[in-house]
Amino acid sequence: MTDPEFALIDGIVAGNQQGYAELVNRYKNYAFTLANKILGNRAEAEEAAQDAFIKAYHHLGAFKRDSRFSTWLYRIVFNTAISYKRKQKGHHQSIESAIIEYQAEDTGMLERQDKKKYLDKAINQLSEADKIAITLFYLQEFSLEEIAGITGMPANTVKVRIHRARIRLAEELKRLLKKEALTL
Amino acid sequence: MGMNTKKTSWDETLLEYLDGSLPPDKLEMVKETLVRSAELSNRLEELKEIVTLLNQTNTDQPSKNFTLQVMQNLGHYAANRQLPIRNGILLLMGVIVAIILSMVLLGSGLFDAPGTINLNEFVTEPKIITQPLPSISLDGKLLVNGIILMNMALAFLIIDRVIFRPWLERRAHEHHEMT
Repeated sequence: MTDPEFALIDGIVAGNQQGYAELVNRYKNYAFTLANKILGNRAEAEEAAQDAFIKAYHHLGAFKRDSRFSTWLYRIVFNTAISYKRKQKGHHQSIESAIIEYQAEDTGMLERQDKKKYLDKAINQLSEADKIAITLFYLQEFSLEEIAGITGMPANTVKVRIHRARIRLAEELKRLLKKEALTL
Repeated sequence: MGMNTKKTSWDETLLEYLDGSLPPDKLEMVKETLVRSAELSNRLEELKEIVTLLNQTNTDQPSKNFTLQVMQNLGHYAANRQLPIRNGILLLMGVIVAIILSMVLLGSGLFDAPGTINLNEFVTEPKIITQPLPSISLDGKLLVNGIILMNMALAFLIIDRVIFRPWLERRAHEHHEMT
């Protein structure tokens, strides 16, 4: 099966630089979201995502058509964001043992929007690997194998991480709902 | 601990149920258990809530000029990857100094006499090795010649990376912009 995107990529490799803008527009949101989930800083995430797109452009000729372009691109975004993360100074949090804390103002009505807000907070407290796995799994519905290809983790590990993350998120929401019920 | 393990195991099964990845025989078993167990049904609802919320996760939006900035900086990548010219020249000077020094020492006849390394001298007390060890002959001249050759290859590599390639890439870029 030939991916229609491959024709566009062939054109870019042949010298149609402007064609690359189409690819950037197509994937910038997901690339930025992934970088933002890893770095937790919009400015840095933007820089990392741009850097990743530039790297991808210069290595486009080396892209083997054995996977989706997006999988290949997100692997570059992932690696670039991780290297940015390593450069971040004094901002390291062990994710496995992170305790989720909420502000007093967060104990309002837990409507769906609120739940989403809490969910985002809870996701940010997950381990980096769990956060990335769950982001990729739900944002663009990548298969476990594709996520494994992007992150370099075995597919089974990815599966365990996604399961574990969801269980932890469920526990957090439950805890919040209980807290909410107690304040009523 | 046993109860926790059982709970985690059921959580995983329920998540697989929600993902639709359970094998048919297990699926039937889970459906039957859900009908019987109110506790498990409640747990399924909790996990379903999370899965629903996660499915509604939106992407973040980068700045409006994101694409423009990427396109404008496409040409800068090659320049950034090159060895900075100052560092390259310093490295080249170091290599040249090493070559000159090696040649001067070689010319002074310092390495003319073949040397030997007597391994027995390195055996400390108490002597574990009782057998006499062989002596290794060392041709210093050959070794220094090898080092000079390696330094010369390194010098050519630096010249290529620091001077020739950037120059050719700049010319190609200028030509591309003109056309």
